[in-house]
Amino acid sequence: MYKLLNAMLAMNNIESISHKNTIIHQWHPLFKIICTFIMIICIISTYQLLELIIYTLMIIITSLLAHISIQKLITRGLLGLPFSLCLGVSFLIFDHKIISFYGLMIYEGILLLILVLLKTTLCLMTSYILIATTPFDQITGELIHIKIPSTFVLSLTMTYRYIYSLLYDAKTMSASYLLKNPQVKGIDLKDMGSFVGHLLVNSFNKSQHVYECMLCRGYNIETSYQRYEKFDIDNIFLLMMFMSFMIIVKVMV
Amino acid sequence: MIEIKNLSVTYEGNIKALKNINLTIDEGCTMIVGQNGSGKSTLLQTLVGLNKFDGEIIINQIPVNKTTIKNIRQIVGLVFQNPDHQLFMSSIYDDLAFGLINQGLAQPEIKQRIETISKELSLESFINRSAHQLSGGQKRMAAIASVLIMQPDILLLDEPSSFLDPKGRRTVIQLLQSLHKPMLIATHDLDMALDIADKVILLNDGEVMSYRNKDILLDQQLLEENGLELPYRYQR
Amino acid sequence: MNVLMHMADGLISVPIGFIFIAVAVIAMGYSLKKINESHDEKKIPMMAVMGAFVFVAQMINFTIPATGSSGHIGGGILLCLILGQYPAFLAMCSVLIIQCLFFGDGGMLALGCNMFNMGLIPCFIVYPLIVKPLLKNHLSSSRIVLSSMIGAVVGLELGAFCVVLETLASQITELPFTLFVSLMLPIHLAIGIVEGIITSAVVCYVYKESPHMIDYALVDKNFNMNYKKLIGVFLVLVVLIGGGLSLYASSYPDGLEWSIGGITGDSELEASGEVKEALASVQETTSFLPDYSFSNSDSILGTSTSGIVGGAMTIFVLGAVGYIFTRKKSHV
Repeated sequence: MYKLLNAMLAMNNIESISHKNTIIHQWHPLFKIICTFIMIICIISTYQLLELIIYTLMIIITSLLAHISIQKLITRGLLGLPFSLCLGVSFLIFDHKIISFYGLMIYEGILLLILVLLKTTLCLMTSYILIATTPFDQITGELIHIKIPSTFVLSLTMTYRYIYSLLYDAKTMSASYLLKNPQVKGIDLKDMGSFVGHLLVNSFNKSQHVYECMLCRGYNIETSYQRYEKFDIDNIFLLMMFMSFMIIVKVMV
Repeated sequence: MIEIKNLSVTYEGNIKALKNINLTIDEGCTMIVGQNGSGKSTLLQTLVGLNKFDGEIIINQIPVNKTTIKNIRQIVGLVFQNPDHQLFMSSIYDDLAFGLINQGLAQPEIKQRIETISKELSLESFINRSAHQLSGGQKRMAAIASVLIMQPDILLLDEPSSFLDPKGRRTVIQLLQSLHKPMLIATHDLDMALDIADKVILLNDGEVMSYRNKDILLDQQLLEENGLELPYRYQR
Repeated sequence: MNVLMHMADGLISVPIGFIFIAVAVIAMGYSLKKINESHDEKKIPMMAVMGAFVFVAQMINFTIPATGSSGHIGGGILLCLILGQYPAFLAMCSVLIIQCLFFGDGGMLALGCNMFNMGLIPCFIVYPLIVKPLLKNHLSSSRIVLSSMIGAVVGLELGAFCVVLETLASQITELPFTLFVSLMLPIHLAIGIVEGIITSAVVCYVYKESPHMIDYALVDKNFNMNYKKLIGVFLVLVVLIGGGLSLYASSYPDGLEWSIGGITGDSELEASGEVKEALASVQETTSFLPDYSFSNSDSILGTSTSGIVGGAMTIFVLGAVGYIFTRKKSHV
C-alpha cells in the first residue's frame, strides 16, 4: 500500500524540515500564518501576470531562505492541477476572444487557463512554505492565541498525532492482507467491510485507552491546552512592512 | 502505603478480572508478576480508579472513590503499557506540559520543570519532536517522563520493558533503580523483576498466589504452576 | 477522486472563501457549545482518534469489481454514526485542516468551502434529517444498509452540487451551469453508490462486533437536534451566503480592491499628474486583461493610486525603522 506509506513519509519529511533553524523558521508563527493568508488572498484576487511573477519570486526567495528544496515545492504545487485543469479547459472551449498580449495575438481563453493553473499552484506552494517552516504544534498553539477554543485545538493536535499511528496500523494490516492475497491490487470490495470495520473498532478502543491516559494526568475539559509565544511589537512592525509591500505591489502593478 | 481489602473487579459479560484481593503494599519497589491475562494491568488501573470495583482501596490514608479520585490521581502516577496511548499531543514538550497545565501551574514553572526532567532523562534532543518520530526507547522514556514530571508520590508502571531492545531495556531499568520512589510495577519480565524488586506479588487468574520477597522468582515449581518460567539467566 | 471534492484556493474567489469560512466557524462554535454543554470529556479523544481513522480510511484503496478502478470512502456519515453529528463535524474539520496543510488537498482559503461540502452537509443535513430518523428505534442490519446507502449518495451529491455553486459564484469557470452540473452529479452518483456500499458494510461489521458503539451516539440525548433551531440556523446561513453572493455579484470587482477604495476615499488622495501618467503607462504595458484588471477601470481607485502607494511606503519605512529599533533593543 504505497499510498499509506507515502503519506507517512510525507508527514515525517515535513515535520523534520519544519524543525530547521533558518531566519524564516525563527519568525513568529502567528506572523507567518497571517502572511500566508494575505499572500493567498493577493494571489487569488489578481488578474495581472506581472503581479503573479512577483509573487512567484517572493515564494522562491522565501523557500531559498528557508532551505526548502525547490523540487519538493514544485511537486506540492502541481498537486492541484487535475481539477483546475478540468475547469480551466472550459476557457479554451468557451472563450474565443482574441486579444493582444504584449503584441502577441492570442486567445483570451489560453491566458485565463494559464492564470487559473498558476494561481492554484502558487497557493499550494504558499501553504507548503507555512507548514514547512512552522512545526505543527506551534501552529496549533497560535490557534489558542487567536482565541479558538482549546477543546477544538486539543482534538486537532491529537488528530495529527493519531493519523500517523493509525496509518502505521493500516499499513501493517493491508500488507498482511496483500501477502495472503498476492494477485490483487487493493482490498477486495467484499473484504472492505470487515477490513475497515476492524480498523474502526481498533481505533475506537484506542480512543478509550487514550482517554484513560488523559484522565490519569488530571485532564479536564476547560484547561487542557495552552502554549504560544508572545506576539511582540517587532512582529507588528514586520507585519506592517509586509502588508505595505503587498499593497504597493497590488497598486503599482 | 496502599491497602487493598476484598477487591473484586468484574468486566462486562460477568468476566471476573480480579477476585477478592487483600494486600498491604509498603514503600519500596513492588513487582506484580503473572502470565498474560492474569489481571496485572487491571489491578494497576483499578488503583487509579479507571475500573468499577467492589471492596476497598486506601492509598496514603485516602480511600479511592468518586470524590477523592482527582486527589488520588495527583498522588499516584500511572505509566501505561503502550507509550502510543500515553503520548497523545503533537510534540513531546506538549505531552510533558499537559499534566502540569491540568494541575494549574503557571507557564514559567512548567517550562522550568520540563527543562529539569528533560536533562535528567536526556530528552533534550527530541523534546520538540512528535512521538511518531521517536524510537521505542525514546518513546518509553518520554512516557515515563510525562508522568514523573507531575511529581507523584507513588509510581505505577505497566510493563515498562515491553517493546524495547536490550539497551533501551537496560536504560529503563537503570532509571527505575535511580528513582527511589515507591513503585508498583506489573511485568512478566522476570529478569527485570529480579534486578529491582524488593517484594513480589504473584497473580494468576485474578487471584494473589503469593506475596513475599523476591525469592519467589527462583521458585521454579511455583512459577510453573502459574504459567511462568524462571528468569532467563537461571535457565539452562 | 478525492481531488474532485477538495476545492483548491485557485478555484474560488476571496469573498466566497470568507463567506464559507464564516459559515464554518459559526457551525464549529455551535458544535463546540453543544459538546461543552454535554460535559462529555470522552468526546475529545474520540473525536481525535476517529478523525484520524477517517483520514486513514480514505487512503485505503479498494478495487471495484469488473471495472478495474479503485475508490475510497468519504467518512462523514460513518463518523456521525459513531460520534453524533457535532463531534463528527469537528473531527471532519480537523481532518480537513491537516489534509490541507500537510498534503495539499484543498487550499487554506478554501477550507471553509471544504468544511461546508464535506462536513456540514453530511453532519448537519444528511445525518439528522435522513440517517438518524431511519435508524432510530429500528436499528437492524437492513435499516443500516438502507440508511447509509441513501446517506452517502445524498451527502455526496449535495456536496458536489455545492462545489459547482461555489465555483460558479467565484466566476472561475465559464462552464455553463447545466453542463457543469450534468458533469459533476453523475460522477459523484457513481462514487456515492460505491461509498454507500462500503459504509454500510463497515457499519454492519461494527454493529455485529460491538453494537454499543452505534447505539451510543444514536440515543445520546445531548445531541438531539432541535428542529426549530435547525431551521433558524439554516435561515442565518442562507442570509449569509445569499447576501455575500449578491454583494459579490454587484459591480465591485474584488474584495481587496473594494476595501482599499473604502479606506482611502476619493478626493483627498488626488494624484499629481506626472506620477499618475507614469503609473498609467506602466499599467498599459503590463496588464493583459483589461476587462478584469482594476487599473484601467474608471473607478475612484485609479486616481488615488499614488496616494495609496505613498501611504504604503510610509508605513513600510515606519515598520522597518520600528523593527530595527526594537530588534536592537531586545538584543542589548
